[in-house]
Amino acid sequence: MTHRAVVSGLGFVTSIGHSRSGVLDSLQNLRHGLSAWHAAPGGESNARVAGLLQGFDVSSTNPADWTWPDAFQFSAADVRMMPPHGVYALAAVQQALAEASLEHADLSDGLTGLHCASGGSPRMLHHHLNEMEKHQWRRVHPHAVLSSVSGSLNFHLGAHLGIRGSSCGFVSACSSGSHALGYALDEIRMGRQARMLVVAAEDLNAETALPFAGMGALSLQTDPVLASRPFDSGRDGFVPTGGAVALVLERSDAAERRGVRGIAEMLGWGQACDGHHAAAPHPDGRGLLAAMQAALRDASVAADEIGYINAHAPSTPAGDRAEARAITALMGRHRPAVSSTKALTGHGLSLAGAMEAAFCVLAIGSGIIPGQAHLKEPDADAASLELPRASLRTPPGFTLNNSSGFGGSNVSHVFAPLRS
Amino acid sequence: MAEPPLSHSDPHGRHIAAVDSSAVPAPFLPRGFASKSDSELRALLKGFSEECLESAFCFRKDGSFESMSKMLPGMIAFHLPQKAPRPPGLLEDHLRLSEDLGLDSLALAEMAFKMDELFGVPIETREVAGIATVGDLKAFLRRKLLQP
Repeated sequence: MTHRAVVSGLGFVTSIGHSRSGVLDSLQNLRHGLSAWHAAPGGESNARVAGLLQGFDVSSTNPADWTWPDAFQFSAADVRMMPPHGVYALAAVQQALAEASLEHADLSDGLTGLHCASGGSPRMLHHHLNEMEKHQWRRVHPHAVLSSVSGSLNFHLGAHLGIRGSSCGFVSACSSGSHALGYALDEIRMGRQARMLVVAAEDLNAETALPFAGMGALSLQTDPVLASRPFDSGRDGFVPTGGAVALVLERSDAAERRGVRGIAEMLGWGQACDGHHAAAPHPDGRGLLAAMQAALRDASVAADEIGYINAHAPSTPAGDRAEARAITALMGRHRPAVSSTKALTGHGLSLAGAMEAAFCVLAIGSGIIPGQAHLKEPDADAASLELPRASLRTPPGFTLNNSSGFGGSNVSHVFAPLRS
Repeated sequence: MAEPPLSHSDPHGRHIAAVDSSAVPAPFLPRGFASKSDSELRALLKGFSEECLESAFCFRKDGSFESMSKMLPGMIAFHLPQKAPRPPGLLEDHLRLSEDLGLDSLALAEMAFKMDELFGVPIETREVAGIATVGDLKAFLRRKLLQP
């Protein structure tokens, strides 16, 4: 028997808000969260704009210095061994559990699993390796591994939340968050878990962002409005962001038994690799097209039933072009609304896919379609896409969420309104 | 185990007198700790209890083992895993670091790292791995801080 799954809770620490209502307001009004940014104070860098996380300061390598808004109920001791993005993650989890009417104790039932996505903390790794070298490799901080490596997010959250079901981390670059959610759906559909907590988070600092400048992937614009403009002919790269998003995905009958209806249903997902290049997408979005087709098959939804596509489109010339071609090839004459919310948030790397999945769920639950912010002159390849310049007060219906990562790793999700 | 008197012989048979520490070099005060400024100590002990910080200032001033020992409850409390029971107020020598206080091996390693950093005395993780009780920890630190 295949179980159905609903999203019953969302939590956000994003550049466009740290609450469901704040994020929804930003999506409705296309209010971006991008600001001028000096990635490396005192130095020159090719990262000039970022999606900043207001009210959080986790820039120090000493966790005792970290601060976060009072609304989030955890202590300095809770985050002492964590990577910086662990702070964002705890704040997002707190919101998602509250919305899903869950307590920490509910998560230890053995039927609740945890999937995380994060690239680890290059800043903490940088710091600890520097310290080790400075001390001739004799003194090694006991938290050097736990605070930095990929996987540290699920190490800490699994322990902190008392998870006794499955626990796994996902590392597929900018598709990581989407893989975490896709495989979470499988865990539920196969009956292995009744509930999955999916958490994706990333640091935002020089160490996470600047390596992308070396590839020419970051926008060189200083004006936030010009820096992140997916599908625009003038786009020149992505704007980095960090933060965290948490989603509670739950077997629909288990949620109903708790008196929780959920926000939207997750119907299916698909993935496919470009098999083309370690960093560049296939020019025609070959893998992404296959991922969308696989997701639609999995969800038993036809392409012409799709009402909204949250595109991956990070505002890079090659990425947006490939995705525009893939969507055009899939949709033919059908023209669903398409937008990339990275125009508002920036690109959250491992966080992106889960963040945008949460935006899709929020859009379905609120009956809106986020518009395409910052678009002036659509790229020729995007000319056939329906890119609303403002958000629409229109229920999106069946919704696709796309993600593409390095290595041509593509994932697509399908969400739907709750069945009456 | 009763705490040894402040006037005693060290493990090498050297006599250590309990006298005014301003008059003679303090036997327990490592140079790397004595040279630390107020701001350095505050930074190193950020998040630790006020009592721990005050004891650190006292230790830097008087170099007494007693002052150093008064830092230990704060040091242990800071490094306790989140799910460990809270430690008793009085840190008696017979208490076991793991079973009674809840310090796991990682917490002990972190405490050793902090002490190395704080006192400026090399302390290896493997050296503290076998320390069982508060009294053993004190004896270990006494030995470490006495090393030339």
